Amino acid sequence: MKHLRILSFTALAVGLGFFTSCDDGEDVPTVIPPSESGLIEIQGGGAEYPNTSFIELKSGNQLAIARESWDLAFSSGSEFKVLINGTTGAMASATGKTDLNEVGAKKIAEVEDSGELILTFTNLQSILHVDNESNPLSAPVIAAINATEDQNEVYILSRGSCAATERSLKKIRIIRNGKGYTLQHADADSTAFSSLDIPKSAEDKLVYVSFEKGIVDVEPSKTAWDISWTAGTSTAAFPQAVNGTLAYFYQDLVYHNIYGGSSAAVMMEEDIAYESFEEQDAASLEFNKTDRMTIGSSWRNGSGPPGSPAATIKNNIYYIVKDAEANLYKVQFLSLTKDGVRGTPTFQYELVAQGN
Amino acid sequence: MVGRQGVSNEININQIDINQIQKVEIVEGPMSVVYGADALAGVINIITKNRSSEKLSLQAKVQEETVGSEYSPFARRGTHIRSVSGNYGVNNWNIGAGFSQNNFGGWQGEETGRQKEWLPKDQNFVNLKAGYLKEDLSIDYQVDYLNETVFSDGTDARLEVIDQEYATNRWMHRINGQWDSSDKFALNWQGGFTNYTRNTKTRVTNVRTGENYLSKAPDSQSSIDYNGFSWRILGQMKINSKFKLQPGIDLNLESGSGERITQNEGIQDYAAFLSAKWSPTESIQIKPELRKSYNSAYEAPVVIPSINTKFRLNEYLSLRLAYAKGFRAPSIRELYFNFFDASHSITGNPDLKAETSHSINTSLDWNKELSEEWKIGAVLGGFYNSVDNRIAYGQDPTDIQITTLFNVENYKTAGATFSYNHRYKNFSGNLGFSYIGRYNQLTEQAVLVPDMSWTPEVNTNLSYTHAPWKTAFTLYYKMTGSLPGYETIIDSEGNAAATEILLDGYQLNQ
Repeated sequence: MKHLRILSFTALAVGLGFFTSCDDGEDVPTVIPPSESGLIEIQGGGAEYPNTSFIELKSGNQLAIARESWDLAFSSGSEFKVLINGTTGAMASATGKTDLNEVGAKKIAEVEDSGELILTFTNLQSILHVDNESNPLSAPVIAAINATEDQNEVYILSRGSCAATERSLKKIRIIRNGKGYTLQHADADSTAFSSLDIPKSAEDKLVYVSFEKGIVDVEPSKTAWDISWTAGTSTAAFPQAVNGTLAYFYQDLVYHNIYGGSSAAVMMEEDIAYESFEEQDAASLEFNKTDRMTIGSSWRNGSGPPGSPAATIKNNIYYIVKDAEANLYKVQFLSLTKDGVRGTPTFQYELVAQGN
Repeated sequence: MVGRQGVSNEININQIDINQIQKVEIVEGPMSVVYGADALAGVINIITKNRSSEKLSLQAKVQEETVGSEYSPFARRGTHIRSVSGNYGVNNWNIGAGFSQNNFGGWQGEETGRQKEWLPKDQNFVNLKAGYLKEDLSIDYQVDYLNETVFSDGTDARLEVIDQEYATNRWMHRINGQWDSSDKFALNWQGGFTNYTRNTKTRVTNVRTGENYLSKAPDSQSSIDYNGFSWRILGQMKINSKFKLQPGIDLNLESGSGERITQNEGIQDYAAFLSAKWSPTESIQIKPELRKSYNSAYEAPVVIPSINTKFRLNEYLSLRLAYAKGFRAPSIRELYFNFFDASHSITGNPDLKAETSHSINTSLDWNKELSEEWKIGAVLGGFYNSVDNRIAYGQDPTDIQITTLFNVENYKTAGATFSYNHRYKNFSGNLGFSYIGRYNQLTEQAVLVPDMSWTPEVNTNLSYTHAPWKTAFTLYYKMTGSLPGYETIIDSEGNAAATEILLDGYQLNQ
């Protein structure tokens, strides 16, 4: 029996630990059965789309956080890697220096003149200064943190001003600190810097840091979300740009949780209608586990410069999302707007098959 | 009717009541001295109906049209025009009033679902006029009111359908007159005041619940307001039978406000012009002209000259040669309009200069009367325009994230036209051919493409006039050749090369 619900964020269920059954590998009966279907209004925050929203289909839970609330994300995995905030259009440049005090006015002027840290379609080398859009940890702009301290360079960081507050450039240097990290950071023109120790976390794939607030909570724990909606840095093919690719800021990107065990596949209505998709139809599907852009912005038609038509929802596409427990959902975006306002899309979903 | 179209939207040719049009005149050749900005290729005079000699006349009209194959009587589909007008003349006075309504149901074309390629619209026109005519003095006043709603339905969606309505209210006041002081001096004037407002209304329909309400998106409910005032006064001085002088003053004041338009003080344009007509012999006419202008918002050329000449070579043949320096003013949009979204930042540039141009036009006319009922004629023409300071989009050097407008490029057009017409009794036929070249801007990047790309065009018509019915039957044919376009491609070695792509030509039959 299907039931239709409008679900909004309830923090209670997050982290209650009903995933422990998976982690332990024990055959414990599921405490709460996965939700069967629903309609979710994404809390993107409205016309300026200030939020990233993380959604767990099983519980219908949604967690919306401000895109600007963090600056760097430190991997808790075995590797020592750091991401910049693509959801504000952040960009970074290596300086070739290993001492923060050696980076100042000259480097700032250089970066400002070249425009290399400005995410616009006129910056043809933008792709060299952003994390990989599909799998950021596979190719982050900041080189993996080296065990040898003086191998770690200072980076000039633009904190991103795409539909976000414009903030001054930062200089940062990250070194290892035992099993964790130490971040040295300052305004790019400053002569003193601050240090912050960041230990890796057992629950979270990434530990998020804000220059102002230190370690901050951003995404739900590792497997407690399946898809997220956000604005963020993506790419567009552009022959004149470096590597034929331009980093480009998109509104309405949907990532699936590749670091938390979610996978996704694209379905066209003309092949199997959303209404009629069943468990056996999933057998032949290839679920993507490594490219978080599998869904991306493929559910809408883009808008262009002034005078071109507004973005519209595509009516012929939907997605199959498998969560970390192998629950199989079909997900279809219905609207880009709520009361006509962009930045508040709505999707429907339905459980196709229950997992483990 | 006074107004510009194209670069700015003050007079939209779609917003003129066709019932009020008496005739349309096309004055070819550069007319920038007398008409100022924008009159580069010529001037289209839409002459609206004016006085009638009858004591009292009343007219009513109903017109029903199909649009493509779409039609249903008196309802949304097709075009439905109805009008009533009346005129009353007494002594030296003449007054008139008219009302007409145009309901256009739109045309789907290649769009699907709820969307239409030509948007449906409802128009209501009101026209009032009063005129005074004596032997040496005439004054006419007219006011036109337009109320128009254009409906733009959004795409089909599973949850929210977003429809827009654009409502226009436009008042146009016009006054013109002529005073003939003697056969040596006459004065005529034209004044106009236009007020234009456009409101955009955006409605959301929730498909699942059927609810319908106003959109809450920023700028989704918006309005723009435009005011324009123009005044032209022209003197006609006859010095002797071979020499005439025409001094004049031209004032144009406009201001606009609305969403996305930078606060501005409007544009004020003041100009004085002098033109002379010298006919040393019966077969030679020479018209030199000068215009001196000042503009508050942009840099216009201070003095612009032009010369128009006509030589009658023999009974059948005459030659026209004309040169003009012309200019095109930046529009309010180009000066003040701003647009920002996630990936675009576009601003107007209040420092824009006018585009300036040099135009040369020439034509050879041949007319012959074979008999009273049989007339033939042909015109061979050529033109060349070169535009400097062309207004184009570019990157703002002070902030490379912003795209704005600059005076940058050079642009040229050239062409040849030929037309032939034939009139015999009630039949008339016309055959026209033109070959028009447009300068290709890609050549500035040293890419191997021809300097100009050329488009041919053929048009012909045949018409028969049935005098007792005052009716003309006309058959048209028009063919526009494909317009060559170029796109830049990058080859495997990273070199840019251009390939020709043809933009589809089209034909029109009626």
